[in-house]
Amino acid sequence: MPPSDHGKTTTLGWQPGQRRAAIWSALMALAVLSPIRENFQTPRHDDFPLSYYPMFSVPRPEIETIPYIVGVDDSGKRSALHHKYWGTGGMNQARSQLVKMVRRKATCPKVCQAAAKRVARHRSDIASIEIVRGRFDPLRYFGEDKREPLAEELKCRCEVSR
Amino acid sequence: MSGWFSPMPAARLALLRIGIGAFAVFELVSKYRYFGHIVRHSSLIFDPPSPLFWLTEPLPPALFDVALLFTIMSGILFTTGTLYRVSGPVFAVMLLFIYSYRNAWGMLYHSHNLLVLDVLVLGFCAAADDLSVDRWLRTRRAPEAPAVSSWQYGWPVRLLWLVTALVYFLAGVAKVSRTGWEWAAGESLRSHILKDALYKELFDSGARPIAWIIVDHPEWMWPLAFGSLFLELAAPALAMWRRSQLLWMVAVFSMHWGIFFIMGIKFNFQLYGVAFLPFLPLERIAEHLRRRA
Repeated sequence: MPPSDHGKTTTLGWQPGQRRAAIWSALMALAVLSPIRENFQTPRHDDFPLSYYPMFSVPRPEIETIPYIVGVDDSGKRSALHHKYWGTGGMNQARSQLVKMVRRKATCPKVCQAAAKRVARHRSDIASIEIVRGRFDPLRYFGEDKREPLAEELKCRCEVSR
Repeated sequence: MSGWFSPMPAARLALLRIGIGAFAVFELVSKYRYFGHIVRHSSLIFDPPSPLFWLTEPLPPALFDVALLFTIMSGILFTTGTLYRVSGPVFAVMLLFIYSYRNAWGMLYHSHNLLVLDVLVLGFCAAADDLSVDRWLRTRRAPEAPAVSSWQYGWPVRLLWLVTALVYFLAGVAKVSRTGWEWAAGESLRSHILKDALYKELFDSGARPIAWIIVDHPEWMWPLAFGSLFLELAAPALAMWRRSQLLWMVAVFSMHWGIFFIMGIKFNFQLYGVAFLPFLPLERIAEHLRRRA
């Protein structure tokens, strides 16, 4: 509806409706700004849509410990499996899901079996699946082109049955 | 408060409704199957954000599909300015629901926060007084004077500026409060780029070639880190001051494209420039079209 209250003002100098707009604006701004407190307390809790936007805020450790999924072929050659074979959503979401699921020991075989089923449909070269946790030094990996992990721990393993 | 309530043309706010609404509907339609896939994932990782505090377990996937369809339909009404007093708030709340639910599956994405916040601002203001089906229907029933400039169309635009600025400001505060001013030196940024590249090696189709280059050139990092931290911390001043708005907007837009080229991270709302529409004098487009008509 076009405004019809031009020129009218209240005793405080507000036009009708401006007080409500001012309150809504202030509440919205305060709500958006409110997650700032997360920076000054522990544990920190990120949320949606009101976030404190922690991405890239803390330096990464020199050694990254990462769970990932490896496909092993008949000759024993191992290669990391693309997230589309075992996760949903984008890469970061799939990785985050894997971290959470592998943390629970009981779910590791379930994740492995689900990945094996999908791999069986799409990759004839892979004979078994391993869920592992590896330790990597990114500077060594990219700077010296040494791509093998510093250490690797097997979490669970399953065969790809066709 | 007089600055906050300075008049702006109705067409500017209306074009923001159309641009941001159309983008939101496009996002929902283009990701319809993708969303359906995500919400059928194991309930073991279901962890909803605050707006869904009342959900203790996932909804039946078919119910989510219906909600998504309803949101798309309300989004079309929102964008076209149809029954806006209802469709505005309904679409704002439904979009909040859909993206909250999408973020309940193991990871909080930061790429849709600003879109949801912008629609919350637009859904609860008089954004359909011009260039809308509602107005067209009204003028068919009884001739009506053209929508003019008014304070009612100014404050929502300024609120969109403020919300955008605060989002970037928060990102800057997080970096300084958790790492300190040395974040601007660039080493932290380099560690994140390399971590992301490592993830792409292990989970995706491989790292971007830039990872092998920056590992040997840490000195390239400080201008990027310093520049982005400055744009974030200074956002409330630069984005709210008319003389610096355009420069700030172009710099932040470039920053997002830089992030995309280096890490492949897509903030579509920013990459397509829709997040920055509130800073543009869109009313000139409407004036131009009206003159031609």
